Amino acid sequence: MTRTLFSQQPSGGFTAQPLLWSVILVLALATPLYAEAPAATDSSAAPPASAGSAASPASPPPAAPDTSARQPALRYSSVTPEAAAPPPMPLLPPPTGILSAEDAPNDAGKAILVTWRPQSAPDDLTGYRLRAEQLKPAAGKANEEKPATPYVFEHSWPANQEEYRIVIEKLVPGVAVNVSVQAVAGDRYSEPSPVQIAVPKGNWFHTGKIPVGLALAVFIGFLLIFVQKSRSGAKLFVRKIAGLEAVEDAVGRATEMGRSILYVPGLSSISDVATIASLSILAPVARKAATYATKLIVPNRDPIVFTVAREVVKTSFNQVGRPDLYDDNSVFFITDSQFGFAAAVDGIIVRERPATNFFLGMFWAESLVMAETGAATGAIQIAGTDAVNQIPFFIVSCDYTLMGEELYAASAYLGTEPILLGTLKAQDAVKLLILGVIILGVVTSLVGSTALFDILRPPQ
Amino acid sequence: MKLKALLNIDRRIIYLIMLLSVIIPLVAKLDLPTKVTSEVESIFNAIEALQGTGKAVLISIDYDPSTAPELHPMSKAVMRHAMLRRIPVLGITLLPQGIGMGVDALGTTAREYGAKSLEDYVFLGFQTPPLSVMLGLGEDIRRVFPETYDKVPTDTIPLLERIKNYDDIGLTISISGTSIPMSWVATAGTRFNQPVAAGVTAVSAADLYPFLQTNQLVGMMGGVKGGAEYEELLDRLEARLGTAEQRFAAMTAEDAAMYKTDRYMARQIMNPQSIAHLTIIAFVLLGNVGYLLTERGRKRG
Amino acid sequence: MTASATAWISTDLWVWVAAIMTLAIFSFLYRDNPLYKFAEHLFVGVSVGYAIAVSWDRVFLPKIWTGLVLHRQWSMLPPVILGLLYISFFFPRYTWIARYPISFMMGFSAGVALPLTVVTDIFIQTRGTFYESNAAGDPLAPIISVAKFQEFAAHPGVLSALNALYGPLLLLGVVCVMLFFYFSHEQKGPLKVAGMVGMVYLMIGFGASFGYTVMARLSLLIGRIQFLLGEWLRVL
Repeated sequence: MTRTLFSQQPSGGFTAQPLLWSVILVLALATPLYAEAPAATDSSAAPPASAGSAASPASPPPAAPDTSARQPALRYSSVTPEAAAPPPMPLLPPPTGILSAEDAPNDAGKAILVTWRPQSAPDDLTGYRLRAEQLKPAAGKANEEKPATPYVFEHSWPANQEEYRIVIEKLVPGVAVNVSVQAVAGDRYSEPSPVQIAVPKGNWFHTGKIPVGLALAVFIGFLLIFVQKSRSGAKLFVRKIAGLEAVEDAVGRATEMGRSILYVPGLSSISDVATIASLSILAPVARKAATYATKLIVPNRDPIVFTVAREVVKTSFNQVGRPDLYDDNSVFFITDSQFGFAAAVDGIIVRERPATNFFLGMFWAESLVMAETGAATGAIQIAGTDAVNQIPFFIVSCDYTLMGEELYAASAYLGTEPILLGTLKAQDAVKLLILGVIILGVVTSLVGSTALFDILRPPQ
Repeated sequence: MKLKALLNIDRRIIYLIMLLSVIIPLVAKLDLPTKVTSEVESIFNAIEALQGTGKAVLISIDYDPSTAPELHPMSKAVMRHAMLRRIPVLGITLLPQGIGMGVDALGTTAREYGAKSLEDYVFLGFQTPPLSVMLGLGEDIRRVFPETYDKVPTDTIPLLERIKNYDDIGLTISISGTSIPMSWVATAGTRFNQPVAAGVTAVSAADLYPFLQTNQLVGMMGGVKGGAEYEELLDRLEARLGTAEQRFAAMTAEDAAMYKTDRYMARQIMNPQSIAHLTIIAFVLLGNVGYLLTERGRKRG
Repeated sequence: MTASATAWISTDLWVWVAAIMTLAIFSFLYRDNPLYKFAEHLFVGVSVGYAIAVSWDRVFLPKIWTGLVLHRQWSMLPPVILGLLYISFFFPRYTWIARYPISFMMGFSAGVALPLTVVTDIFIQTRGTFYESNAAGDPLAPIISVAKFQEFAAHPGVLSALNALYGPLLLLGVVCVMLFFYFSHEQKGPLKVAGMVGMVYLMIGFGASFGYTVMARLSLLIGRIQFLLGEWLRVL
């Protein structure tokens, strides 16, 4: 038995399969719950070489929008690396209001959130000027004395809002930022307000990704439940697929006409889901061929798929008690060249003139080359692929086509693999869930609510 | 009998008719008008909006010579537009075979517009795996690409001092014959809020319309038609600005003729394309008429 | 003008090589033959060799050789060792060792790609089914809107009709196609009707995909014909 990652046979002692799935599961579940990992304190005096990946695109700060409703915070990353010139001589009294500065939530520790709610203002006030200063630790050896480099962010906004919320980015994590506000009246400035101090810190948990985490947990939960159910032998209903009803007739037709069955399990490798699904369907087809003593031809493009297909066919013939009918040469490897394989299959179709052709698995541009040749010989053709671009070609040249997920459903229906069946049922459950969300969304949108829309917003 | 003949035309005759419907418009230099769609115009407007912002355009050249007839013209058209407007261009590729395509496209367009390597554009070359590249560009371009295609260390390039990551890139355009544009939408678009546009082969175009509908893609150039539309938009812009005439006047006649042909490549392909499409439609209708009449005859008989 | 530019056929060796290889591949239309086989094998060999050379020169040398060996960035050692474990594939007794780098890569890819896929392909697409949004992701208007129907009633026309029907048609298509691929219940009654409607939508979509694919193939053919007639034979 070929030793593959998904083999059911343990590979002599230690099997990595549970470990593999555990790793995937843990990472998949854990990743959406993390914000970016908090960065180490940057002790370099040079301007930061890497920007916070959670930062919005830096752009010249626009004029503050004129609205009384709470707006999302504006984000600014234009930090000047040099120390700014000292502010002009204050001529106005300091502004009155509530200034607060705190660590920005859901980030890697390079941003702070500043909120300024002005209370009373002189009549000739034209705007406010925010100043945020951070002393970046100097790089170099410990015994060297180097002055810290101040990073200063300054910007002005017109005085037409009840509240200003600003996120200042590209800061050094763990180093205090001094924030103050000045009132502006034309070319006159006030004394700065009392300084507020904020320390940017990285967050372990990104609250904006909770919906993503929940969605993944629900899906993985469904997967585990249904796979477990399937493994324990519970009967899980899968409806019949139209193309599958024709399999029996197609095999019977080949038997009556005394001709062979051609089964092409796709051109992809064993790690492709479509190939696995195809090989699951090959088993019952081979059993039927053995029962009716019909010749079965299985050409392969991938060497590993060839070895697996050979085992599948041999086992199927044994299962119906006809090992004598099994021919090793009926399952063979041709070439790994895409169009070379297609040309060889065309040659088989023209020479052998099989009564039934199965094209199940992953196909690319060669799909129509083979299917058209088969159609020209008058064979009944059943195709199935999840390659969306090839489905139209199979539809026009084959009698039955299994489209996309129908191939997986067919393999779950015909095959004996509990993971395939459990996965299919889990997907169905999630489909219903998504349908429910869509209908709920339509209904709530008709009454003007954007709650569901906001829940599904991509995390920033 | 005649109806049967309609349904059973020898395929070699069909090949011959298709070949003639391609060759005749090419040789006759047919010139059909190009209508522009909103999907392509969106990309054009997005690049226009980058003027004066200091932000760059990142072009991911992820195709090989097998899809070059569809993708190379649109690649060049986008680069021409950016260079015309003096918007810095960063070229990368996630496929080994894309290197040659990138060198040709950037080299040709840079020579035409007098753009200087490392100042107006940088070809960073190939890196892999794609997912790591897309994620890494959100942190630091220079860490993902330690050197350019010409083996110049990227930390010595002044342009890349200013353009560090997605924050400094105004638009990412993925030009590919594979599903790489969808990965760009998922990583750069969703994770980093980076505006992403796509230039794809016609085979993949249908798969990307859901992303257009939700504005996850700024715009899309689908197949050679998309390239033709972008060329048309660029020509209209240059006609308004009068820049094309000045530029060609400063070149030798041979160079001017070569660039003029090169700028028209996608539209040149669209001429026989349109005729071939009409031929196929005629065959499809013929086949269906023959089939319906045969069925009717069979039912009567 | 140079003599080569005015020649009736190209005198560039590599144009001739490309033209001969193109014709060799086209000979498959007649039937499989040694010339086609040679061209195909040459293409496969050259593309694999090129990929190896590029990976060596552009990935291994600047990142691993320069980083690990020349600059002694030891942090690169664990991933390099993990990557080297792939070589165990060539030793049948030790193939199981390769499961470690494979599981690490699969875990990393799944961990990174899963949340992004959920957001990109499910969340944003789902909400795009009931709300139009702008590039920033802010809601603009409901997909299905009474106002659009009122607009159609006030100003009947093709555009206003399409605008009003767009939302219901989109919703109908999404729901019916999803129910077409629902396998846990027998398709009877309303489910059967929904499945049939879904099938219609699928066929329309496949028809568009078919047309696009034909367009793509034709473009590639035209590109080759342009090359043969233009660069090689200088007819164009």
